[in-house]
Amino acid sequence: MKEKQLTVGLAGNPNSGKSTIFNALTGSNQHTGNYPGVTIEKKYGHKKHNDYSITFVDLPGTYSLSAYSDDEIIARDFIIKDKPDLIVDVIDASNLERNLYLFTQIRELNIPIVIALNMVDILETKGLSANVKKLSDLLGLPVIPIVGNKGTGINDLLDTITQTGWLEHTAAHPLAKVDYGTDIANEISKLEELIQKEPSLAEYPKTWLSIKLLDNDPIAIKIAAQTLSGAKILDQNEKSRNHIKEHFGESAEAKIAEYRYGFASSVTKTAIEKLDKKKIDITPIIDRVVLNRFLGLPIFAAVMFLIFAFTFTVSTPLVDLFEQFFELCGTFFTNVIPEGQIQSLVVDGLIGGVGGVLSFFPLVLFMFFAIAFFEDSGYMARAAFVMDKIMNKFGLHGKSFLPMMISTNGCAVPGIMATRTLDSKRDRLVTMFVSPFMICGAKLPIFVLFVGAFFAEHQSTVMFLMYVLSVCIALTAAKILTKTVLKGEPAHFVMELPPYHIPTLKGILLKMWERGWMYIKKAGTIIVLLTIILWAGFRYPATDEDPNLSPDENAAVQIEHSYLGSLSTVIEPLVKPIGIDGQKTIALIAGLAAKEVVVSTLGTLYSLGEVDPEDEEATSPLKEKLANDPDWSPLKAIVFLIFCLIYPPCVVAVTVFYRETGSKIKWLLLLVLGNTTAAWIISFLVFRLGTLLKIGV
Amino acid sequence: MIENIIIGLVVVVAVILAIKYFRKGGCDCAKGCDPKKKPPCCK
Repeated sequence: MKEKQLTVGLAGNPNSGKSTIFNALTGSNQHTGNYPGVTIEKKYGHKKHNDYSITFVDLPGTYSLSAYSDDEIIARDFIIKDKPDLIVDVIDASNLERNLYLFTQIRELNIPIVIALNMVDILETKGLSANVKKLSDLLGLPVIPIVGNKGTGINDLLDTITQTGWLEHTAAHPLAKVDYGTDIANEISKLEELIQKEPSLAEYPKTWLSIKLLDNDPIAIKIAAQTLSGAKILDQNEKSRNHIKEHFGESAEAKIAEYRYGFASSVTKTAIEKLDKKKIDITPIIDRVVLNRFLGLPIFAAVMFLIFAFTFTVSTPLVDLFEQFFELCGTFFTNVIPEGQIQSLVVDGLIGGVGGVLSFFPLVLFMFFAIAFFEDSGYMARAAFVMDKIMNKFGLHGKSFLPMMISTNGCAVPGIMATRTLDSKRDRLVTMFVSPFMICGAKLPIFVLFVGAFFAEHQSTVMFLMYVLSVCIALTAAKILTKTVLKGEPAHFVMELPPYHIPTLKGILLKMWERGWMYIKKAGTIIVLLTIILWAGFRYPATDEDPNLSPDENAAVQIEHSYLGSLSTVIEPLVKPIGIDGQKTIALIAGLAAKEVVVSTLGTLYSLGEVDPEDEEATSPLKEKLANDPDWSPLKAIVFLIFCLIYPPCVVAVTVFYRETGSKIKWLLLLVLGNTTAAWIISFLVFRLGTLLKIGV
Repeated sequence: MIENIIIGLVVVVAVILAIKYFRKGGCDCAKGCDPKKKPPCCK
């Protein structure tokens, strides 16, 4: 029997649990989080059920289908243009009224809908329950109660979607829709009539387009304006809007929103019932403490410090073990491969470079574990709330905290992409500029390496301070940008605080592994390739060994006369004033390809410089080599880290930044040149001041 | 001599693969979300 095809879109409010349900439906491992804005692009997943092959499309979470932010446009364009067979509207039962507001708009798109009533368990903790039958009768469509994170109700949902003949059933039983009253309905009809006559508007549901025109939706107006009868339609729209304003004394958009909320409110009142027994709701109790105006910020700082203390305490023995493993590998291959270029490539290049990056794998894993715990518990959304006031003072939007957090937790690329959840273009741009200042997963090994080498006694504290510094730099940059090229006030911040729940171990481990795997994958692909290229750059052209010099001295001469060594001589005058010697600058330049390469380049550079396998120093971990190098000092290490914090992000992040800013060269130049200049000036000031005051010299 | 030829080939292959990597858009995060590959950073 041939499989029938179905395309199903998953729509819903931010943090309604769409991604969790998408994962449960398709068996995917899409990233989920107990904070809004996790989905910013469409994602596809597949499932076979009851002779149906279903393609599920996870849409960005939106509160409405207006045209105010990119994610809302993505969601509504998919429904209108891709014409899915049906929409599963994921509704958070504990916030039914607000979630039904979106339903009223999806409903106007004339598409079959199934309601996935999620988080019914949380509703019960509030002493309430949803009467599913009543809700289904009121809305005229199937309503399936679900607890997404436990997988309850998922099969019922799949059964309903694939139920034979249900699409026909929906057609025969018209769905409930918002009653806009006679006056507005008349104006809608007038517009519908004109839209019906315009063949180029046939793809748009006419009622939806009419309401959107009355709603003064910029994209709907643009669509209408581009048609032959555009002037006529817009003229009628103007008349209708004026009529509504005169009649009701308020704008058409306000009146339409009022009717929609009226519908959502009356459905909620009828379908939600009080339970006799109320479960204890811990969310307001915890929030009273963590959102306290005096305690909020210190608690947030303590949480961040706890994450670092946990990460370093637990991972240090494992990092040592990994380092010992790579030392053994180095010794083994030195003995097995005959002396020469191939031995050097394997030992100095691959093991010294890539091994240096992989040594920190346990640390990265534990860091992701700790962050995933707080993310899933619901605390990170509170952190955004706590930070809102500070963010505002620096011209940033409260929501900007989330892209910055995503950059910190993993990578600046999804961080930049997550700015799509910001409604104002100015807020988006500022956030895109500052998100790369955070210490991402790729920068983490650089910081751990230097902190481990020069501040071994106080690793957690120094790492915590470096994170604080990254936030301070991001805030200062935001302040400068909003006072100069991106003037204006941030938009108001409205964010939903999700209920707390105890994260599942499976969920945390999954997230930890996903992010950890990305680290390994990168180390095994692009970092290996770049390390080979950089090794060759330091190893060629080969110089003849001078018998009068020691092996170490010969190695130093080789590096100095190599291609990259010669390049570093040219760069040296530029970086000397900030205390970084030329050869180490190569690591910074290589870091523009991928930040982990800073560590692998230093690993290769130090391995090449110590060629005697009998010498213990030659096979010691990279951090020991750095600590024992007289060219370095704690002050120089801090300056190097500050430079790494501020200078431009990796080439992939820069490309995504360019794309997301609308391919504007001026923003790209500002990012690349601005960050490089700022990195140099700040590093110079810190180095000179430190030298003057003799701190860490 | 043979050693240098091998190294030369390895470096050329590394350069080609690195260019290919960046031309494809770089890390998984930048490529968008392919459900079959399930890139972890898809948001």
